Amino acid sequence: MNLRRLLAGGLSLTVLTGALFAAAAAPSSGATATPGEGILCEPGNGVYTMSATTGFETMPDGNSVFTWGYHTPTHAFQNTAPVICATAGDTIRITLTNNLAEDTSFVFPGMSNVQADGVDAVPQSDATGRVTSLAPVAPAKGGQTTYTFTADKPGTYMYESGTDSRKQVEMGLWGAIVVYPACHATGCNQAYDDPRTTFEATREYIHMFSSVDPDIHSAIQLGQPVDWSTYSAKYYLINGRSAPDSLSPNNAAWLPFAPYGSMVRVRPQDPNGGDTLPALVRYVNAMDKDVAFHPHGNTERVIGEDGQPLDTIGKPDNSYGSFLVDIGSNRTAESMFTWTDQWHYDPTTNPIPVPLSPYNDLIIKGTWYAMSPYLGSQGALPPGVTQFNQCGEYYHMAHNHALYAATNYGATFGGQMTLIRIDPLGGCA
Amino acid sequence: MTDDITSGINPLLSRRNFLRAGVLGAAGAGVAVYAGHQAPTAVAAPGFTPTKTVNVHLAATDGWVSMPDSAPAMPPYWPDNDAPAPYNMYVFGFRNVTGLSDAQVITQKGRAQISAPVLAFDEGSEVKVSLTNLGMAQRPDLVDGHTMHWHGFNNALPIFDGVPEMSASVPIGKTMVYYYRPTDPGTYMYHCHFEDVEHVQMGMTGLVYVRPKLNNGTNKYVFNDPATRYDREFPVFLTESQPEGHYRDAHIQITDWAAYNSGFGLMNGRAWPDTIVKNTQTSDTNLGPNFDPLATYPAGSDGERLQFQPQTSLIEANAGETVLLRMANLGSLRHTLTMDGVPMKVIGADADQLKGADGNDNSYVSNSIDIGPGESRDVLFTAPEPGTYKLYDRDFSNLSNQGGGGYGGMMTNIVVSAPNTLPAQPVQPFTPGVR
Repeated sequence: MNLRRLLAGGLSLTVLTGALFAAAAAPSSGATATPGEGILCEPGNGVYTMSATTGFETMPDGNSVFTWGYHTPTHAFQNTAPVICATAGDTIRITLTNNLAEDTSFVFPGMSNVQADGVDAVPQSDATGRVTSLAPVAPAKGGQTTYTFTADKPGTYMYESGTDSRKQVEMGLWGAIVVYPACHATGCNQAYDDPRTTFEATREYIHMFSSVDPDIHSAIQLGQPVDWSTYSAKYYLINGRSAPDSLSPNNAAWLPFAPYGSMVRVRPQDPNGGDTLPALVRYVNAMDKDVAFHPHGNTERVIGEDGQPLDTIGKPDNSYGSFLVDIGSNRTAESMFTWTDQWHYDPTTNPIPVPLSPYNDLIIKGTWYAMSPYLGSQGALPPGVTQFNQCGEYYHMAHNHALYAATNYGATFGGQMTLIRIDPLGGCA
Repeated sequence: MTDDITSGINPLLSRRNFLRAGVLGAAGAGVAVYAGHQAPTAVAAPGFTPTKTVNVHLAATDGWVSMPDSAPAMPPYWPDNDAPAPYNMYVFGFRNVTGLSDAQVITQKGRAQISAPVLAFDEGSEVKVSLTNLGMAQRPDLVDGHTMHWHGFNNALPIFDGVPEMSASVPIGKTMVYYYRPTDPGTYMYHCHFEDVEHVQMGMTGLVYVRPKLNNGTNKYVFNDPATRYDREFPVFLTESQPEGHYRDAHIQITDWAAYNSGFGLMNGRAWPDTIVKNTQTSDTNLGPNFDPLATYPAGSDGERLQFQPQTSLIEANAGETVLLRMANLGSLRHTLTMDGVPMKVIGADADQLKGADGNDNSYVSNSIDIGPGESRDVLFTAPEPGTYKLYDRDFSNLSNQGGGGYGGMMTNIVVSAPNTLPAQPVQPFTPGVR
């Protein structure tokens, strides 16, 4: 990337997409991700510390929302828990310190041998038999509990507060666990044990879905009673951000409360400077509603759900193609994404066979369009249009198709929406 | 007639592209990984020769439609007191104006329809969709653009994907041509993506069918698989209408689109009992037209009231026939369609045949078809013994009109006749006269 050209292009801070922030992408990644994009695994090698605490997140419309999250060795405050990556068979240890004014805990659905301070992490009851927590707690105001578990099966999982979960998960106390198959230790890039789940090493992404009702968050901040029957989300988040913040790179300095971007970046399937394997997108839904996630640009193939491969060697293939990946409430899925330059349109040798209107006959919101329909080519920018296109790359939208959830407080081009970036062969110079 | 044959539109095949395609094709055969989708077969042939060229002209504008009068009033939102009789709700929509003169097209401003015209194309053809923005009759202050987003189109180019921020949109008084080469059979949707939450809710939504090569213009298969044969096909296109938003758009007010609720559940743009108002046009079409928005109907007739909701949902078949329901949902809620007592076989979802990469048959039989926002299902059933059957949403909140008593919303009838009663249903390509 040419830094000078980027800056000259008038990129605003909220939508910068590229390698400018490579230096900021401090935590190691599960794969060697393209700087600024892709899954970021919390550094820790199986041993993690985090403190539950309160903070604020800023929404794209300027609203500041009281929220809960974690203080970690890498981040002062993030409003979801860190992404933990493991290889099948690993034992994971998380020491949770509770700086909140109420008890909290962790549950790890799908994991085995879950223990809290060395004893089985079973639901807790008080003397009357009332269930008080789904797991032993880290007591309020400074309590500490260490959770351990075995990540024995590949897949994508949630971990979340098991204490007053309706409230605490809404406030941000949850995260994702990614378990790679055993061959990951020797360098494979597979979602599951089946080699057919091999993905492009630098193209692994995670979309973690949640929603925010700012009135409920405000009531909790002010210590007022909460009526959950009035729940009405106004913000819909991917990785703790709503669009267009979702497009900012990992560890964007202006979004310290939400370190993970969600832009997906690929090249056309082509051995000559393109991708030769699919990208892998992991989906995790912490909402009480399904997410109807629609990737524009191409159909995805769903290869796993809830930590179960849909195709296992020797068994019939149950994977499916889908232009809308449906992730149920509190479920996870993995899908493969590719984009093929199917017709190799070229402005001189193979032009698109319909006339293209000049820009003064169109509305150009500009922004991500290169002012040329051809991959890798850019046209003249109309006056007054700010453009974020770097080298003629394509952008497609990917969003929740319950369209009220693709808004920020009802305003379009927001919410659970991100972009798929398709670079030309060879990438952007 | 604009449905003509064109060949060899891209005779020039560059050496570079040829080599690129050849290398990719070879590599694709040897790599045993999932593609995000099946390997596109056309990649080795950038010198594409279409089987035919289909020209479509769509116009985008506003207008007025009619929800069932029996629904309880919800003042001031519904019925809208600005609506000209016999209409009661404000909408945006697409119209099929293919073949009309420019002067005729302009007269269609303020005469939108819901659902949008069903578009049906053949795999291997090329499609040119001209989209004209006629502006808004009720809202001359509103200078919104419009676009066409072909929802689910594979390996899409952003310029023809219709997302304004990723490409361009069409201003009032202008026309843009969208270009597609459909290669993957199935049931798709299209909608405007300009200020999507508003324009989709307002009615700019419709279906696209891509018919497989196996049909060869006359056969009836859903996919390129003889096991997907059918005798008759019908659209079951689900949307929800939120009258408050429609009223506020008509009356220059702002809506919080995040506060979503559904007033009328719609099937092909109508709410029960209007869903079963029958065709008055000739019965030679399977694309579901009923009334012609260009025609003039007698005052007080169904034709006048429903001419901007021209598609019936009435499903008619002979006992023993295989019926294809092309279900799709561009509302914001999940729906569960059921047909009491009649098992349905889901053979496709989201324009993909339910088959594993190894060819494993993943189709399934159910009495309830679950369909989320933005999803499509290809569903076959065998017409049972003669009689009338109901197809309806089992989420009963979508089975009333504005919360009123009795049934409304997403419900229709399936009328089965004795064998050989109804003539065979012809395969219907996109036809300019079908609105």
